[in-house]
Amino acid sequence: MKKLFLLLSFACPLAILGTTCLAQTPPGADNAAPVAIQPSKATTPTAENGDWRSMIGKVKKLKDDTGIKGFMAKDPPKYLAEGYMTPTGAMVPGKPAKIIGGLRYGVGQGLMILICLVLLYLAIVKEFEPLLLLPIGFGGLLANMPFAGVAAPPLVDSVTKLVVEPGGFLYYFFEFGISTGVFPIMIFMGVGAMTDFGPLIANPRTALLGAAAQFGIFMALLGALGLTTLFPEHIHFGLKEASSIGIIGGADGPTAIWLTTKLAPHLLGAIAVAAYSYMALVPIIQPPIMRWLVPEHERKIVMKQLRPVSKMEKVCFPLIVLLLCALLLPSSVPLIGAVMLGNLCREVGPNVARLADTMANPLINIVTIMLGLAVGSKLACEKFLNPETLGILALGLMAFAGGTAAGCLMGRLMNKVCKDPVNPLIGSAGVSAVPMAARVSNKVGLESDPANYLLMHAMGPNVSGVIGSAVVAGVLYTLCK
Amino acid sequence: MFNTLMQGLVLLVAGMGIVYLFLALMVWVMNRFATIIPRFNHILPDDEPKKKPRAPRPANSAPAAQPVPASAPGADAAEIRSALPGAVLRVSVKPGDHVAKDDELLVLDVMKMETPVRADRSGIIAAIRVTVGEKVNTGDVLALIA
Repeated sequence: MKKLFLLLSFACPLAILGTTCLAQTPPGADNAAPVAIQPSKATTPTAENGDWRSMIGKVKKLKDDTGIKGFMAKDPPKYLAEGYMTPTGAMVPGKPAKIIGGLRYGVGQGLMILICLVLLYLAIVKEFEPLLLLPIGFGGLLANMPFAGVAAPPLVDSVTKLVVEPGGFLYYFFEFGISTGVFPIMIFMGVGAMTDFGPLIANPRTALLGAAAQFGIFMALLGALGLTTLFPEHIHFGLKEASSIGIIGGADGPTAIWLTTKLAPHLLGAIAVAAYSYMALVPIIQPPIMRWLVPEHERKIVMKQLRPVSKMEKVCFPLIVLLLCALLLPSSVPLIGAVMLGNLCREVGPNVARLADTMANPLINIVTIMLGLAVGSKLACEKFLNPETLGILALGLMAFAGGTAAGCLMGRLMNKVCKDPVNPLIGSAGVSAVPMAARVSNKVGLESDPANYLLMHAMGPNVSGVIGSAVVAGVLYTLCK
Repeated sequence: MFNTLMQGLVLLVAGMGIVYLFLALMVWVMNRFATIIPRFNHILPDDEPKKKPRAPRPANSAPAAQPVPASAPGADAAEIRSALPGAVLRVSVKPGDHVAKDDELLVLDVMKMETPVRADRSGIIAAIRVTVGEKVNTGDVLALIA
């Protein structure tokens, strides 16, 4: 890449003598650069192009559109600073881009590219949720390439309202899938098709652990408001922002994206990165808290084996939950409805196995690619390089820790109150992160008693955590919108 | 400032309250239905009726060592039972191998997680009862150690 740029910047001054340099035009540059040359036009000059000498002028201008110049640019792209019109005719107002330390915009983009490379490193080498962090990191990489316009909105003529120049493909991914909330819902369908609610049906009490673990959401919410009080010059989180930050503690990527798009879209990049990074870090964050809060003898508690659940029960479960949700919490219906649709397809069995299989594999994979790239496209420097992002990262960690702690404590309480023994370690699985958190419960349990497999018991709180965080998302949306 | 913080507190109380109420109601409804729905199991019979009776899971010990009648090569052969439902991902030993206690015998895929099954005693592998890819249920015999 570097070589190409060097070659190009070297060749441009020579272009006055010949047009050989046209062949080296980087393919991405003619997308966004307003003066870029289409090779086909070069051979057949049109009326507006004038004679061949104007072409030479344009070729000379090419050097202003290289990435090198882009990284030195002072100002953000025009559409960000001055606003733009969407194809439907609505105006999106521009905002003066403020970057930490008053850096040049191009330098900010360079820094963002470094951050995206760190994300890619975490995904590829450290295997932190690679399925999501890789597309997110790469989307960020693409979106921060100067002049490439991969995430740029289309250019719309303000009078005729016609699209003069189509935008970048990430813009369309985002507008189609995330602004509308469609992608998170589709992911939820896949989650439902992959989730076995059997352990929850066999032992419904464990759903209360899933409720307790949602406490982390509200801890982070209060924390966000507290930070705003403490550092009023640097951090400004209103209720909407605070709710979106809190939902990181739901440990549920799609829920977090769904709520953030609706309440605080400008924080989407930071919140998605925080949510997915901490989900990957669940095996590191949770065990110390669990060991601290649950004494050794309670970690050894063996739970009663789960009863087998009949197919009829499994088929009725999604319908019952959906009905309850519709009666009590209509705002959570989109998320819970999607999960239950996926789950119903899964449980009905061979007749609709094709649908369930599509939701659980190809569909969720396709949507994950587009969702990841689209979320990554929001890793723009003017939104990410500020003190608020640091705050979000800290609060997200707090949310995960708080949820884990609340789940474990609720587990201890349930063990005291209930007739059948409850191993408090399964409480930590109430932060959804299916099935990672359940695995962690299992692992910590095995440390104390190598024959005590808690995995299936922990799946109960784990899947009810998904329902719980969807409920919280619905409640927060209704109360804060 | 005080105002927003109080709003946050109200959100906390209301949100946690609603989540608890909703899930508690769900628990109550499910407990109700758990007694009713199984009566209608005949409408939708299970896809694969379980032919093998499930072995009761041993309470507080490793998969139980029980003498195996007839099929076992030696009278002192111990069954290694699966403690979890899943699928066999790979088998690390073959019949005739010497294993020590806590050696990995095979690896199960439980909820997309590799779960090693370890020997609860040292001995010689008498038989492997499963093949790679096979689905196993809780209590199924995986291997015999003589």
